[in-house]
Amino acid sequence: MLKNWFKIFLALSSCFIMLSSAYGQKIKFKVFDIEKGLPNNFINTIIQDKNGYLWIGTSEGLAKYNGLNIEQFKTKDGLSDDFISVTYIDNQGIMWLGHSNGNVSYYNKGKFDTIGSGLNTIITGITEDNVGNKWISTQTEGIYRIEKETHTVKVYEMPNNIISSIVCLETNIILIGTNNGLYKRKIINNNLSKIESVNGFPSFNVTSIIKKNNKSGVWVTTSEAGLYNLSISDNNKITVFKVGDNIGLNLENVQSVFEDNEQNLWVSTFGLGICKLNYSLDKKDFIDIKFYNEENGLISNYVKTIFQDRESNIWIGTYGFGLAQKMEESFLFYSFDENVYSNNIFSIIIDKKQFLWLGTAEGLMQIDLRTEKVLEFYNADNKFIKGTSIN
Amino acid sequence: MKIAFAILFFTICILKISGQPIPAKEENIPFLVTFGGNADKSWGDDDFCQIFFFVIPEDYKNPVYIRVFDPEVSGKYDEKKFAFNTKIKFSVYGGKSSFTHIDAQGVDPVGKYRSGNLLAEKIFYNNTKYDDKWYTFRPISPTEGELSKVYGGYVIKIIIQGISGDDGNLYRLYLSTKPNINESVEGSNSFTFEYSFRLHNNASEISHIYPYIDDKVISIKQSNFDWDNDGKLYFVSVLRKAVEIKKSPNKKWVVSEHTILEKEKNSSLDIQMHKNKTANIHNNNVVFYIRNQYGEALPFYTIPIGGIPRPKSSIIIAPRK
Repeated sequence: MLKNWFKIFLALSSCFIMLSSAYGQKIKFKVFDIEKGLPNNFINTIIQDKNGYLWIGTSEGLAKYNGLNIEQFKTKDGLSDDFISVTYIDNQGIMWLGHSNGNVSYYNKGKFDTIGSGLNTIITGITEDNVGNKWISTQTEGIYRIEKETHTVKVYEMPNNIISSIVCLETNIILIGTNNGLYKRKIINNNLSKIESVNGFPSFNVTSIIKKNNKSGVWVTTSEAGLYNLSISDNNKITVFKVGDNIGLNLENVQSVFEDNEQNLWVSTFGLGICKLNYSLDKKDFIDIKFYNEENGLISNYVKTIFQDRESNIWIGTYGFGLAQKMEESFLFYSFDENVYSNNIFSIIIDKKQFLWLGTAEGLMQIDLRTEKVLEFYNADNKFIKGTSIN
Repeated sequence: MKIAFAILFFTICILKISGQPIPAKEENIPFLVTFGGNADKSWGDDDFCQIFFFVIPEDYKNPVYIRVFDPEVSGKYDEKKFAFNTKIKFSVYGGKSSFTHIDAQGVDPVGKYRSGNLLAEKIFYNNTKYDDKWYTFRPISPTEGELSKVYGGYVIKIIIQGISGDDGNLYRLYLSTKPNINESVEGSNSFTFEYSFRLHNNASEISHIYPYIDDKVISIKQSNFDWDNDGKLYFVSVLRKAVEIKKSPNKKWVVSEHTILEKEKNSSLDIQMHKNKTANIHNNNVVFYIRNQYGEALPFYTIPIGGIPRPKSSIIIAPRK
């Protein structure tokens, strides 16, 4: 008897698994690419200025989007180089751009100007200290400071380090991400202290450092081991936590992370698309993961950067396929495996138990809206109904 | 069903025709080789470093992917010395000076041969995850390369260097338009200034490499390492059928100098490696480079510029299809 029950259980389980995996939810993304006016489809950075314009840094120029049109800017417009690797908006609202030739450009009062470093290396990060000096990280030639008033440049070498990112904390501690872990230096009298490694942080390849929205620390991404949460106390004590172990997060090739205004994290990866970590205000932790990738409508799985504008729109910078704007998820698009179901939907109803019933050309489908899984499929084959089409 | 098979067969044929691996089909070389940094040079690698350059046409605007076949060091193909203990670093560079820096165009990994912006890097070791499989680096924007009008596009550099250990890593490279399959970038090419590779064990197989002779070359000095005195080495040009060149013994370099005829300028040479059919030399790795009369290294193109040179009545040994 027990054996028979087990067989029935197995049969039902396999049927459920087959059904539940046989459809895909499609999310709409609006794509902006070369044909829509971008200088290039390789997006390195997205930022919004104080006037609300969206600026998109690409491998072949800068784009400004006003909500209707895209305007391009290149070296002929005053940029030091067409390749835009990073952007930063300072406390005065001036936009700074890093290039692949070691120089920076800045945009102030409607025009671009440039500052040369004399270093032949790509700019990997721009940050600002408490008095308004800019600190620029370069990939192979250390970091340099641009004096706020005079724009004079001073270089601080960091031999044998490949630097990927830089962030200056409110306490004038500079965090530097490298291919061999995370380091810190203190700004003292307009100079830098000796370099120290951040205790507790593994010697992985750091790909980005982002300040938390609540200023209590930073998020750090690595190419090998996903995402870290660094909590920084008032006395500059740094505590390192790995993010996502509790929800089975296991990411490689992470490029960057963005914290939205609901404290959810959007992790961009090369290969897996976007991984969104949903934050629970009640539990004060990340409670689940959602992926956005080619399977559910994203144009590419190679995502370099993500940005949320003031109107809460999510913008996705892909590497090679342009800029994508995520559309409101209340408009969901479901598509079903035509080998099992049908995508010809004739009728829709949602019952009190939040089950979605779809009458299709091949039969009747029951979907649980909470889990977004197909629960049952009634058709002529399983003899629930005569014929197939449900009107 | 017949139609389905016909379509499948046709698709496979198309994929093969459009393939552009390193080594290329025209070269008939089974694998590139790089040994761990502590290996004995008698195994056939003089400096444990291989540098290749990919040229992407200037008007190509889509992502390209550098793919590596069997990048790790163990398993099916790699050359083992006792236990596998080798680490090999694959580094991809672009940007200003990545190609034009004089050290990047040398035959030895000295000075600033790692010039330019690091685009991607990964260290491989004894890891069966990548044994007999392809690994794909991140997408690369062609504009991340260094633009060279002389070489006809954006140049991307890949350096494969043995860090530690003493085993040989046998691998192949591919510049692809897709991350998961090999699909060649139309109009692209690749070249190196020093070529380290594995020869076939089958003595009837003839391998080829194709140095390009530009218009300023009057004479060349060819150097080869660790040929193990196996068989004969020739070059074929657009004019000459088979000029024998010196061959190296085990763990040693040998150099021979040859004049270049006027009509051989702006064309490729075909250096042919004929193994000795009775010597039964297996697992042989060799290194080649060629310098002009100024001591400048000449590039070996995987797809020979101007085509494979075919003088009248030359020894024509077509690469295996």
